[in-house]
Amino acid sequence: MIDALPHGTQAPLGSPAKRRPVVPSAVLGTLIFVVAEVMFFVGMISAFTISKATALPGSWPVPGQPMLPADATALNTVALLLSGAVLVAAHVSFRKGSPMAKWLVLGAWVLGALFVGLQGREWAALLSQGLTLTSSRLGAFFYLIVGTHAVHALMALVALGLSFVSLLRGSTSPGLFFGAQTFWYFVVLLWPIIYARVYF
Amino acid sequence: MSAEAHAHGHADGHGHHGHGHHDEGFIKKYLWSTDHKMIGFQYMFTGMAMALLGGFTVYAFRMQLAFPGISVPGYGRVTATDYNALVTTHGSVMIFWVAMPVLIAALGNYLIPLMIGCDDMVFPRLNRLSYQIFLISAIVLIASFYVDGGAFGGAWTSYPPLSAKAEFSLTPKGSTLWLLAVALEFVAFLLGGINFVTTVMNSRAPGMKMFDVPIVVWMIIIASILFMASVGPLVAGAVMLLFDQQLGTGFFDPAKGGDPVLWQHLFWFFGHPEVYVVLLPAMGIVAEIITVFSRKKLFAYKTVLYTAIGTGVLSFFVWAHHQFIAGIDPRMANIFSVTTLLISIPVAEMCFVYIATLYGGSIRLTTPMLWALAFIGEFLLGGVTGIFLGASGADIYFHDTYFVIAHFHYTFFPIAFIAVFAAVTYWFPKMFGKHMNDTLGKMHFWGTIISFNFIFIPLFVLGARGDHRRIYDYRHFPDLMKPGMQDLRILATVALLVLLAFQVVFLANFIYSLFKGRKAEANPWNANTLEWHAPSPPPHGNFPEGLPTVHRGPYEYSHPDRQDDFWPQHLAGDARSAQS
Amino acid sequence: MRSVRAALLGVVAGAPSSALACAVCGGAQNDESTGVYLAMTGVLSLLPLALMGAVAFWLYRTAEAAERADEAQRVESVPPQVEH
Ligand code: HEM
Ligand SMILES: [Cu+2]
Repeated sequence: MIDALPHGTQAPLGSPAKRRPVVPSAVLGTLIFVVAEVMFFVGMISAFTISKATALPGSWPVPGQPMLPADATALNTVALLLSGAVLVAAHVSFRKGSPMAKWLVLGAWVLGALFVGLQGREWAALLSQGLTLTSSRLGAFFYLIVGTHAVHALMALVALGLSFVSLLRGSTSPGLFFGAQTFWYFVVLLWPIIYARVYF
Repeated sequence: MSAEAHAHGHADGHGHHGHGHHDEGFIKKYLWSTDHKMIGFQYMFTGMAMALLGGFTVYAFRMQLAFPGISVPGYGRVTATDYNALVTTHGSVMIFWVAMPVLIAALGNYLIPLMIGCDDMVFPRLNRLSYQIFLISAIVLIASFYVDGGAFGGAWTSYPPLSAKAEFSLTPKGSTLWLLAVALEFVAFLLGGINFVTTVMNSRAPGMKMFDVPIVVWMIIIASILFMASVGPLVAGAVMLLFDQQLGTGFFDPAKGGDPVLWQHLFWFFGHPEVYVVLLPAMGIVAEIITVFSRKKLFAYKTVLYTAIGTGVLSFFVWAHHQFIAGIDPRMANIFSVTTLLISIPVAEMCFVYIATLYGGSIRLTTPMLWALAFIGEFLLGGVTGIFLGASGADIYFHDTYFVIAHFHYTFFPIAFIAVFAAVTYWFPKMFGKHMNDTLGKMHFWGTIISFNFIFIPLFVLGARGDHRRIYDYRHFPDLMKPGMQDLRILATVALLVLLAFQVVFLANFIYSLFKGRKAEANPWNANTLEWHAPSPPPHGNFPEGLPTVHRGPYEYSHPDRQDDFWPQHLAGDARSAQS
Repeated sequence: MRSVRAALLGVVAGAPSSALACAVCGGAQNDESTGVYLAMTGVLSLLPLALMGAVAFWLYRTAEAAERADEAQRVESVPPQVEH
């Protein structure tokens, strides 16, 4: 959908030549959104950090609550990071106009979906061991932070899936793809921080 | 979604594609429009309606304070629970549903595309969505009055544990609806802010360089950025509070190992930058108006700009001055005292730059100019009293007294009302193509300003005498019923009634001028900025004669090389020699 | 910069020593939590500025590069335009 004219119908007579956007609007918009989102997560993570540090002696790690499976989650982390790397490759090949791009996007999507699936399995296990939202502060913060990340991952997967479909259809407009990429990198890069702060 | 191909176009498609004709239905034109001007009006009129709600609540609870126990005409008896809900609603509405939407969303939407010379926002449909979410948030807030237990009464700051547990707040549903309404409102402004920044970045008229952008646009942009950078932690806190209320977690509940002060940090981390989020656009409005009506170039454009950025940066370092006596580390309080005193420097500097702009100008005391001048004077009083509160030692005494109330009303009222009246009277000819009545305008001005001071000077005095805020009936507190104290409360309430009555003058003037006002030409004030180049009111697409090209800065008034005392930005001619 | 440093020095010099009677400084004696509080205060304050600064800087760089590219193109293709 390339409108050369501002109104799709008629440009006012005598309009000057247009300014070329410095950065595609979809990328800039997503980027600003991501900044707000980072602050959202930092709010939660800092609350958790303080809550942990001010716990009374002997009350952390919470007695009677399962430890978070830090080792097993390393695998999930690797899957997610890989997915980010594959998406970078997709971007490069998109820039070159290579038809590989869309299959790399699909690869990134699959790895991302794998991450979400593995996280889901982990949640099921933790719930069965008695770690719930109300069982302790650990549970509350864990499900809050990791759950919010999971919701973002799902949203990003939808956006990435849509860009895959549009690439498959041979769309030439990169706005959605670039915007989705920006968001996915955010989801990927945020995870190691959450992993380090929450699981250990 | 194509983005690269568009410059003046839109990245998310366009609501009016394929409409050869423009006589769309009422809904399409007024309620479902993607036109930035219409969305600006939607925000403005919703904001005005909410201001009426805010005004009504303050009327009811001030009557209770002055004449405890009476049946308030038009409301009835104010019970203690009512009182809490009324105060909470007043504060939340005035800040989140009046100041924010009118100053940022309404004026930003209306002015940004016109002032930077493009035909619409970059994301018009996102813009429409932003307003719709905002409208829903207002409806949710109002709905909270009608649920079991009534509307939330835990103050606009919503401190837990009061707000977290229904046993304390007695509003099991109201507090959640309040939280939900605020969260929705934030989403709306987040979308709006993204739109503003992207639009100014990508759609400026050709030739418009960084320092050719009018100050008010800059201010709205800086304010939007501040908002977006600071709102995250509060949203995080809001989610946690929501979980506490509805799911039984204990993030802020000491009984479950939680920490109520944590909420205060998350709230004020946003809350203080928010103060500057509303201040900066008001400062921008004043800059536009005083340059036009003193026919002078803005005294120091770049200084104002950098000062605004500096204020924004500093505003992230002061939040704990709201918590001096909340049990924070006193060593930390000291640091926050110093940063708080530091931030009053740039704020004062901006005011002085404006005064320097006025100096030696040929001043025309039109209604908008009166409002702008009043803004500077009244706001300075608010800022100066902030310094007393910022000194942590003094604040131990002043905290939670009417001194604080008077302080922030001397800042917020100039921002949310004085500057907005300045803006409305100044841009009215552009918005509606009609002039407002000047006599009525001046009457409204003097009535409002005088009664405003009569409300809040008594409150300063009361606060200095130790009058505690958030009290429903002072008759239970003999220490606060010393001779003269109740008289001051009555004086403030009577002045409030006068102030509210004078707003009728404004509404009458607004409606009368809308239909019967003298027709306005395109540039009635002989101003320079691009919006005055468009017809009054601007049609869909803004500039029917072609989008403008910019040749100079926005404040070239009384330029020595020129016969006219103004020099519109879009006129070609010997261009940039006069840039400073 | 000097004045900023002087101001910071003032802050540090003005910091009161711990009041041992006070529950916050004296009572808890939990240095770790004080440190964490300070660290999180720093992160929360500085991070938004860093993020916004980074975005602004990147935009500025990109804008400059784009302007230079435009300029070069204009010089190559068309003679300087007459203002209308
Ligand atoms: C010049 C700079 C300013 C300084 C130094 C300053 C300082 C302060 C301080 C220290 C407090 C806390 C008082 C207490 O609770 O004990 C306070 C409260 C407040 N200030 Fe300011 N302020 C300034 C400007 C502003 C502006 C521009 C606004 C509004 C737009 C504003 C709005 C408020 C509000 C709403 C509160 C009270 C919040 C509440 O407790 O409900 N202030 N101010
Ligand atoms: Cu503050």
